Amino acid sequence: MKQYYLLLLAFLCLAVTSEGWTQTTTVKGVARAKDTGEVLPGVSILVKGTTSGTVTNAVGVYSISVPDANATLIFSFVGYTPQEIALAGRTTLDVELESDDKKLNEVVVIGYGQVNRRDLTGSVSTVKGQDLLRNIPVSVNQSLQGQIAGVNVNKGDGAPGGGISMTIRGANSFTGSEPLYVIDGIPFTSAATPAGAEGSMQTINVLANMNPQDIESIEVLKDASATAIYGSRGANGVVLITTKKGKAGKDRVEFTTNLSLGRVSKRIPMLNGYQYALFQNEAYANASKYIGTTLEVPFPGKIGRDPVLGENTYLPGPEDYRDGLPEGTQYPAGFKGTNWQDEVFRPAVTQDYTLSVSGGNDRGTYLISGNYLDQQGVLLNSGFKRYSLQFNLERKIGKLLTIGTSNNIAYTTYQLGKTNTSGAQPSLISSTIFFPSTYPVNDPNSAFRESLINTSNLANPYKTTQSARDFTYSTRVYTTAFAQLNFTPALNFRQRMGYNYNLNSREIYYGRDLNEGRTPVNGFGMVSDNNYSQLTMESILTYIKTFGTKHNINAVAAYTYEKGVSEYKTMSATGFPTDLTKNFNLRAGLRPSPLQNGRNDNALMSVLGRVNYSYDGKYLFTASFRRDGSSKFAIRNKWANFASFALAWNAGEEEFIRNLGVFSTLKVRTSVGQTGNQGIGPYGSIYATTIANVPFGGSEQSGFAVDNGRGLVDPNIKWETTTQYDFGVDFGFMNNRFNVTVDLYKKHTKDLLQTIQIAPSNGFNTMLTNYGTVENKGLEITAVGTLVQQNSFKWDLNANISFNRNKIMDLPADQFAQRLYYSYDNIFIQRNGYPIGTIYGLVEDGYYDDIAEVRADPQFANWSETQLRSKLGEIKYKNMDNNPASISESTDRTIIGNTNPDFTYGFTNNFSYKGFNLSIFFQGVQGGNIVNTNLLKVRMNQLGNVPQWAYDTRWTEDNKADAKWPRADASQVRVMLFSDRYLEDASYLRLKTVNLGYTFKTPVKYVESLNVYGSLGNLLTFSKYSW
Amino acid sequence: MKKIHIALVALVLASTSCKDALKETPYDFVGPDQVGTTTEADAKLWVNGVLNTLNSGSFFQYAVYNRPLEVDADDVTGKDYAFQAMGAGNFQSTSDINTFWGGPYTLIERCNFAITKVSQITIDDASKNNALGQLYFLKGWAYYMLVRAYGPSPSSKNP
Repeated sequence: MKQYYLLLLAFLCLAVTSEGWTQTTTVKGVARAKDTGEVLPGVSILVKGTTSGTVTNAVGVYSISVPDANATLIFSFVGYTPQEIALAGRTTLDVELESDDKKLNEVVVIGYGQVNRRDLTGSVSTVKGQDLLRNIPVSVNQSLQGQIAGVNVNKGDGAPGGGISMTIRGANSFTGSEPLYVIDGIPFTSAATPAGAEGSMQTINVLANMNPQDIESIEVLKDASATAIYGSRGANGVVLITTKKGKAGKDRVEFTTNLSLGRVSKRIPMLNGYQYALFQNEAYANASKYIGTTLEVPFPGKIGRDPVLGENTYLPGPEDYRDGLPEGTQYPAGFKGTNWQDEVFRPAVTQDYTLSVSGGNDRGTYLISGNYLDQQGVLLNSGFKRYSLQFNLERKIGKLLTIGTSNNIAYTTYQLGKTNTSGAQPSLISSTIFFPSTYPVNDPNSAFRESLINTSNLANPYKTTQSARDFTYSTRVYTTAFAQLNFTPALNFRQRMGYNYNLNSREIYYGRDLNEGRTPVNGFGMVSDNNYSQLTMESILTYIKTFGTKHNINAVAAYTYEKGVSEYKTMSATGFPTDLTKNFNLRAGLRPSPLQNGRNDNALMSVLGRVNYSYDGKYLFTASFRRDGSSKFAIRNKWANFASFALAWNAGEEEFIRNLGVFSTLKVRTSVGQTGNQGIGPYGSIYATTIANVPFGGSEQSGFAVDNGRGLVDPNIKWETTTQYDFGVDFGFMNNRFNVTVDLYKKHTKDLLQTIQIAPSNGFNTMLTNYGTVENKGLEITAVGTLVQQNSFKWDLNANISFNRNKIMDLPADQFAQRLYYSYDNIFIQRNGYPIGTIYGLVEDGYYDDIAEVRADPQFANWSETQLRSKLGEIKYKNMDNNPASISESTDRTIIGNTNPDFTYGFTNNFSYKGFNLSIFFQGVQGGNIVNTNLLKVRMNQLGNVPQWAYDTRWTEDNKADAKWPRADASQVRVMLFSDRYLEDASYLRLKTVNLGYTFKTPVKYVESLNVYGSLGNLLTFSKYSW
Repeated sequence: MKKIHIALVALVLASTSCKDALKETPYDFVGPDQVGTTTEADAKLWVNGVLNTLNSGSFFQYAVYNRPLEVDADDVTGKDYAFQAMGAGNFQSTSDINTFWGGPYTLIERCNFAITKVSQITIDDASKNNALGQLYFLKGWAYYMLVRAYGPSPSSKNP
């Protein structure tokens, strides 16, 4: 206590002495908004030339000490034009702030610079940080879903931290349609997800390390005029992420916490124990009846030889599962079957805490923000954690120099669970759904039981969640620093450097009790790393000057160099004596796998320039140019040039438009330009040899052979070039209270980089080359505005809709995309005139209902009675070629669908009344097909459970007319081919977020505002999807 | 203004003089031109590479190669879980046919590449002929298997 009083005394003394030391005057006043006369709390007031400042209180009153009576005060507030007023001896100064014409004076970040929206000639959409946060996102790219016209965000799988893909204005490449992410001016790449167990296809989200709370705004560059400045990487669009830098004014401390509860919104109704037993009995009975196998009933309900226990015991029948199993069976007494979805799904809690401190003055700003996020997954033992620190600093030094740095350090942990596989290995989700319900959760005999159904790639899901170990740890340091020399107010030179280091480290262990680690494998352990480091250097010269009063030039010239190094290493082993040491001592494994590691480098060098010219603010012209050299391409094609031109007319500023009194903004713009895509891995243009060893004389001898996997090498390989035409109109009504933007575009991409299939008689099956053209045409409409503003009630609407049509051209013949799913090849066809994502398969034509129908089919012309009977209840495929005697996947397949939607849309309604704020966000997709690969596992045989609705509509003698699925059959003679059965309508409308909050202004002393909110996510989905 | 001149000159110089900065240097693989050309051991490396094909998935590693020749014969036919799709009489959904076609061609292509490389190695004739002999034999054997199974098959004009 004593120290406290001492401190207080000292403080008071200080205050007193400082009063006496300098002659300070106190100035008071009120700040109001000019148009409404309302007081404005939170207006920042600075004494010019010093660091002292204050803010207005809840009634708009401020009080500030100034060092002398002739000081100047600077008043600023978001959404209002700042004012500088000289005191000239006054001690009371009331100020009226004018709200600035937000839409036109809004500063928009574009590549290598920024412009006022008024002067923008390209198609750029902006989302402000606070709008991103309404949906309580965990990661930045997730938050963009449905917010911007033309931007399509898809979650790879629902795993927390799982990969998310984004497409802007349609897919225009076969090798990757991800846009370029630029964070604080530096292009951003991350390391690949480290190798997982065989068949694992999971990826981690590349932007997971950024805290959405730290984002100031996201600009999406869509058309050529905006993206051409990114040259060889701009073809898929560019996403510019700008982090918060702190604002001049008082130091702010902000604490944000989100607590969320999530659960699986829809369970798939699978057969319970009783129904599954009935189903299996029927399948075996049918096998005997139609195929002629010996009848063996799996659930007979009498004494028989139990294959698991190896002795005679009571084998339960279906009724026993309904009533509870009696004693004496291989299962626990009273067992009624397991609902695996109930065992494995749980309500998931997400906690998110962010503490940030920011502030600044007219010499510089700073922001420090720390974040802890713990997101559980709805599957047991899955989750995502993030620890991150964002540190941004900018400072003016002297008159000429400005320096700054922005840094992000993040450590993220992913506990993925094997939910996304190629189909050749069990996936956790498909096991949860299809694993037989007649097996108990804790099963000492699981090894034997699972070996019986192992061929369908299913494993005990509960056990997998409990004992599978699969962790990925990702460390990322992202730092940029710049020094800017301001030669004159018009000319400045900025040297920027960015360094990005990302290390992903993965540990996997599957023990003996799991499918992957069972005898004879005896445990599988793996440790693998991927790291990526990138250095970017940029030298930018900017010139902004107004000549006369009407000519305005904003020019940029820059040189950049990027170098990236990627390395990986993997080690794994099997044959562990015990599962105790897990993956921490791989040396204990008797069978180590061959060591694997590697490294590859890439480099990019560019020169670029852009000129923005505007005459009288009405006539705008932009030209940009970039010359890129990339190490990835063949020697003769390393360099390429990309240029763009844009014209815009601010018609709204013209007299005759103004006199109409309808439009407050009318801007017509058009642009044309070229961008490129270098989406292949490094070393694609040179041959490589691979180690091809051979055993000789009892030991292995080294050998080299040309690497076939790489395919035939094209010595002329080069970039894809996209030429994009854009025509857009921006409308503003009622003093920009309501804004509509319409964009029409056409993108033409030629020299597509793709791995084409060539005749195997070449010795190679594939070749990476430039081949084919893709065209995207579309329309985007965005409407933003305040529908109602009365008293204290405000209703804002933000809606967008976009249409895109995709077409492939100039292929010499049909070809297929890479394999989607294990053993189902060549499903996505690439054919001239059709879009990317066209689906190719057989068409079904009902079932064979009786012997006469089977006999009538020319395929079975000479079959005997017994053979014909085997086809009853089987699927009938339509014959599309001229050969009715066979159904062949080469000639009877046809185009059955297309994954591209007709249009996508989203709309947000924001209501605010006094302190309340309600936000409702809908997002939807209309048209297109989804390939429901889950249905590929519904086989109506002895290998796994089936959904209730499939069981109820299976073909039986009594149910011929309404059959939607073939007969239950355990004989394993049936092969289900890929057909239109697996295609579903992809349309949906989802109520994505309902967010209701209340803001308390200054509830307690020192607390400026307290915002409390509750949010419901993914509340309703309207869709015809069966799954 | 002088400062701008210097900056621009630097820019231009930098962009043209750093051609080496864009050259790809392989780290984790050996380019075909980097395999040695002076000793018998180098020739052996190429021959071993070709022999490795016989141990690969295209040939005998997974017992794929012999299957199309042996199954669906009179005494080797039945359910698909024992005799694969071909043994069950279903020729539509089998990848064995593709492997049986692609495998020999991989062998032929590797032989051709190795023959070109070995011919350029400066070693004594006995060793060179030993290596080339093995390569020519394997190439001929591959064509022989193709013709037996498929009839007339494409051939390349390379050595």
